[in-house]
Amino acid sequence: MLKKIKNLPGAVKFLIVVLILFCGIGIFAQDIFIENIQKSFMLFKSLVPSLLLVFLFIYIFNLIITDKFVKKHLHKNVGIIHYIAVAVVAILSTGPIYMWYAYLSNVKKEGVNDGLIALFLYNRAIKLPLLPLMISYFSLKTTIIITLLTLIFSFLNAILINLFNKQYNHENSNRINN
Amino acid sequence: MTPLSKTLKSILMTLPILVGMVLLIGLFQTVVNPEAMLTLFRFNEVLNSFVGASLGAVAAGNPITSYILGGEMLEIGIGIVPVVAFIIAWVTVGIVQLPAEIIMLGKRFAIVRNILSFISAILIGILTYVILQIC
Repeated sequence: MLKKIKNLPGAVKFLIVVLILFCGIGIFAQDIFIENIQKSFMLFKSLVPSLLLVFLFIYIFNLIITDKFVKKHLHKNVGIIHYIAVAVVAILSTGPIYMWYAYLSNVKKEGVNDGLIALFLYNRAIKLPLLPLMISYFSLKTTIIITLLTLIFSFLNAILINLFNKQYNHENSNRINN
Repeated sequence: MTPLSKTLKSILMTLPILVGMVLLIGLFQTVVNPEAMLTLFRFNEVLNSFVGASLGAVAAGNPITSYILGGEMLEIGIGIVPVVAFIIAWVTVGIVQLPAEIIMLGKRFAIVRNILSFISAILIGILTYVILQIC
């Protein structure tokens, strides 16, 4: 039994842990359990349109972008244009971040570098439809400054993640050689 | 493997994560009262920035909530640095999402990215304050 659980994919193990937590809540705090189920259901309902969009993205990615394409354009020869394009796509993308993990996991497996993935995740912080609301709470000047700094830091994070990776791979290869 | 079967495989891989995440975020929204978070800002500006980024990191849900809370924080006299650190960490750092991020994108990547985002949230807060003083 334990061996079977060990062999399960990480995603399934994660769900099992969450469900066990929920069983505990269901036994000891039924009111929280019921409220939680209602909130989760509403949340899931609101996610459906964005979820379909993410699956469509994954399909288009699988259809158009071949291994050859990724290796040529997004693996080693990544230029500033690629980074800007990824930042724009991230800013325009919708839905909560965890819905995009599947898509990003897909492109990572195809060889896209971690910096681009980090750049995508960071730029999801810029929410164009929410900018008017942000302006009403924090003023136009503050909103512009925060948005521009977020954009700048997304690139810095991407560069740093790539540097960490380079350093890590270098140390790893040294260890193997020794 | 055809593009369609590849996509279906991705969807099947994602569904347990998605269901788990929705349940966890629902739990967070049920158990944690966002208004109660404001009482935690009772230190100096430097520590408050750390508190802001930490609360933003553990919080989950729609960013609209972070703007509303950020607005309230400014109204009760909390400085711009902790407020900006809070709203930026809310969308860039995800402690609740971390298990899912680790499973899908790798442990090292997820941890390094979240630490960098946490530090960046505080730095963006400080830089926003500095630029507002200059402009």
